[in-house]
Amino acid sequence: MKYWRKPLDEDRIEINCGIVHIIEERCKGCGFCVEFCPRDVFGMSTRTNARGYHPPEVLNPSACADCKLCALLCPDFAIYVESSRKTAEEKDLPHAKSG
Amino acid sequence: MPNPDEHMGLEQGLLIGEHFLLGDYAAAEGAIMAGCRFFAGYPITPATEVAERMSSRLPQVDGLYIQMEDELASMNAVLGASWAGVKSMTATSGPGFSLMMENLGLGIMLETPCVLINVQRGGPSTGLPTLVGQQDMMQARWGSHGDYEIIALSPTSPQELFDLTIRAFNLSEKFRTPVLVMTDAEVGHMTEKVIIPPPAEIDIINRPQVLKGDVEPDQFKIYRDANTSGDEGGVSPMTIAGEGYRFHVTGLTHDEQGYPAMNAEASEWNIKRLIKKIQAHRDEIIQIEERNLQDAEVVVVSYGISARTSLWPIEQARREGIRVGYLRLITVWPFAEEKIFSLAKTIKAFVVPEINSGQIVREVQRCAAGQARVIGVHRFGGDILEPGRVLNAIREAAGRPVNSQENSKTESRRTKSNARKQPAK
Amino acid sequence: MPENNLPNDVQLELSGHESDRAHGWETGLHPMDVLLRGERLPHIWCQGCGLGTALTTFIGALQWLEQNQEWDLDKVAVVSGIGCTGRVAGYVRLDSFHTTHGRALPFATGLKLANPKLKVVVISGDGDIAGIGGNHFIHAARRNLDITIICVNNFNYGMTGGQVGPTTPHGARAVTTQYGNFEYPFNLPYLAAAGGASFMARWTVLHARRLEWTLREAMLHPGFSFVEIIAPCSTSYARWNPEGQGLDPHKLRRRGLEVMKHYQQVGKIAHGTHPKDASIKVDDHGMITEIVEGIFIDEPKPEFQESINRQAQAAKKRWEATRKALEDRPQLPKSVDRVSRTEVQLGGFGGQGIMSAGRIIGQAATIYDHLEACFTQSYGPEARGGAAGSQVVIDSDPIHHPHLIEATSAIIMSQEAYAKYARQLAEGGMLLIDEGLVSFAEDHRQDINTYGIPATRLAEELGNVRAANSVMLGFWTAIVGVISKAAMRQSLTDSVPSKTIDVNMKAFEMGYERGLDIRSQV
Repeated sequence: MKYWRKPLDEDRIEINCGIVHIIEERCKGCGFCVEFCPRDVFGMSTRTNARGYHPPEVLNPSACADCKLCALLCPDFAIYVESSRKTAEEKDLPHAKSG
Repeated sequence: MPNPDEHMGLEQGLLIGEHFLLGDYAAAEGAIMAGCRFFAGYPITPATEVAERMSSRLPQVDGLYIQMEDELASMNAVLGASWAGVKSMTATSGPGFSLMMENLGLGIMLETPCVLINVQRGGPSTGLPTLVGQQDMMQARWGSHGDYEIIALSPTSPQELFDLTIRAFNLSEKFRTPVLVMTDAEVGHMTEKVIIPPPAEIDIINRPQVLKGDVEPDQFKIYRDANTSGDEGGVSPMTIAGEGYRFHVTGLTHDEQGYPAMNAEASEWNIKRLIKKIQAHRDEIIQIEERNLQDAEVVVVSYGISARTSLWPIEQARREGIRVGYLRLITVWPFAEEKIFSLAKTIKAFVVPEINSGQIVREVQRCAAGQARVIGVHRFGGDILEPGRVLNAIREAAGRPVNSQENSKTESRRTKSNARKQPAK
Repeated sequence: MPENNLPNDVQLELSGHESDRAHGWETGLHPMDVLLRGERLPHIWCQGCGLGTALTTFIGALQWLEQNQEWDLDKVAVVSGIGCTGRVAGYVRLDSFHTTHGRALPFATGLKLANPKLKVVVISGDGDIAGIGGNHFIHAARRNLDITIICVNNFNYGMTGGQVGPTTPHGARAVTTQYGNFEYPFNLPYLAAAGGASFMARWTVLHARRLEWTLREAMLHPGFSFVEIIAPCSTSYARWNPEGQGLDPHKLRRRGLEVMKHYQQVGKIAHGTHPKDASIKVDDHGMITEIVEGIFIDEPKPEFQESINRQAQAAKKRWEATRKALEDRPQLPKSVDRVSRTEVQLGGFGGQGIMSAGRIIGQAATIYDHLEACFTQSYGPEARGGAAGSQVVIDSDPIHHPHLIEATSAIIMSQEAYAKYARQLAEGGMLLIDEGLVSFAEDHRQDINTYGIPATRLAEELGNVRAANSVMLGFWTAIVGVISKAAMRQSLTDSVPSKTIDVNMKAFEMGYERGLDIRSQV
């Protein structure tokens, strides 16, 4: 969903925004988090960890809605999300017109 | 009237006093006296009466009887209950014994105290459900796969079935191992006097165990290595579910912590531990009954009902001047190797009566190591050994003449009686 | 026995790592690490395996229960069987038991019954629970024991390489059904329902959040709760079947991911679906076309711990009666001298109390006359309503030979028993017959003493035909004279139902008087 214009209280309203922690050495590169994150926070990195897998990387940190689905889906206990909040301004939500 | 000790025992639901009791019932009473409060079983002749008695008596002493869907489930439920801290037991016969083998192995590997009673019957397969056999004796030792040690006791009477069931529980608790009571349809289904003393007169042993707060959970090792810990008897204290130790146990080869360790060193450590636990305490575990061994020229070695029915032929042989001794294996496994080995040096022969085609006789042969003859007296399941045959075997062992007409001694008397019948006038 | 020959300073590896520890697992990094055995991780499950996710939802549910329902996680016990799913027990930091294949359920049953305060959870795979463990599964459902079963269904036996199992869809390929499975799978919800499960739900691991919520409910549910978790088997099942052949955008052949995306297509959430409609649908090629998910059964039923408690009360009452009888038992003075081995044969047909009669003699001999006695019964097809036989050996000395060698007396109450046992009696022995039921053969032995009494008729006249054996016992006591009358009377009183003591004692006396008469005439 995009805003048509910037909300006036953008700097005061706080919205959930999780801080994603990836424990790279545990990752087995299964791709669940990348595929199923509802906010497309992740992408597959090109790095490989010590076990030869490509861990995910956080591409859009402010898009995170703190749903914790990635942590729930991860089969390897390699992701957890620290609950946090940001102002709408900080979350830099997409607008119909940028600015 | 009961004395105060007896009275208190009766209050607790213990059947103190003198009773004319079925062997299977005596086993159940022994279990209850030993503190068994869980029985999971499946009906099978001739062990069903143990289950029936437990089903009526356990609720009377705040215990629980459950009839499981098969013997595999029974054995596992017994293990589960033991890991919840309750002394538990099952009872079966040949076909069920076979079914329980895999999980008997699990019990041994997990080092779980529990008792398994096998009221043996004629086999193989469905065999002779209602008639005696002693054909599972080797299976008792080797029936489960893999290397391990086992303790097996063999009673000759309902009184002894009571006593040895208590002993089985004590040994199982002390050594953290399943213990077998190998009885048979004769002893299980005969009714004789059983004296049940008050609990104050009975020694009951409980497992070495830690409960909540005894030890730091991080420091606790459920299979503590006796070599490093100096544990008495090589038996590591165990714990039970729910005490906060967050332990893990598995049937896989494991380490001290209980975690799987899939390599040869771990296997060696595991198996040596299981074997040593029992072998290092043979003196305590092995019980035998000896009569007239000092000057014996022939020794009858037997167990269970066959030992008992050998006593009369032995008496007769002694009257004939044969110096025959009697060695009864109360503990059949571990086997009394040293005793047989040392006796073999001084006697002419062993006679081994058993109701099978030759099982414990092989152990006697092995331990006699060629130093004395070993003569087995065997029959297949269905009836107890004919006294005449045992007597003849003793005579043969002693080098005396044998009277083959006496082999079926009981038959011959009847034949004489029949011959006396006269036709009606 | 050779000593353990590891040098003292060599520590046996404490962990069960099946793989190299090079990329070690540092514990304490993840909020769920507190419930994991870090020293045993990383786990052995493949990339894309759904088991890790299933475990995550389980731990999430436990942590929620701990925080919101005051669950003491020390009281949670996990029992598993053999297989990939079975390894869960080894990874959770709870009291856990990795048992034998298929037998987690009965083990859990024993654990729970012995300590009802434990929260027991069985976590095992489809082959373990529905294949080898199938019997235990339906019985556990039937019992409605308060345990939770989590069955991770990945449609094959994964640990051993991907063989067909009882839940493999029809037409699907597995290592042992390479031409397509010709069998039909279980509908596990239906099976559970047929067993009587009171709570049943199914979710795929994709629907992890709902799965976690359901696991909370399942563990809180009083009684048997069963949760089927559909999970990808990336290395085996997904390799053999179309679900794992999807388009991976990165072309990394991540079959687990492909299967998860497939769940997105075929998963259909429909709570309350009747279990009979809950089969997993497949097309002609064995590819799954629909997986219905949700909570299918949620009907609490009485759990049997309450029934157990009620039965204990009835049991205690019965014990009181037994105890009283024991405490009131009289001590009879010794009235019998040394007895040398005496054998008694009893025979009749089923229902005449031949067994009880023998037992009464034995009890009289041991408890009241302080002798030894051994009582045995004849078995075989004749034991059912046909001929019944029992034997008693009495002696002052220990009895070595428990069977009869030569009976010196016999109590015979049927023609068949007469035909069988009369010829076995010792020369000069005493044959006691029920006159109305036994007639002599032409070649009836002349070298034994025969005594008759119309026991059954007399008992009928007294008003209870079942007292016939008491008549015979009285008769025997007088004629054979080896056991004292007082002992026999007391033993009889102990053995018959209290309402019938009167008639049985009368019957006994009748037989006894007749016996005395006959004795005095001889």
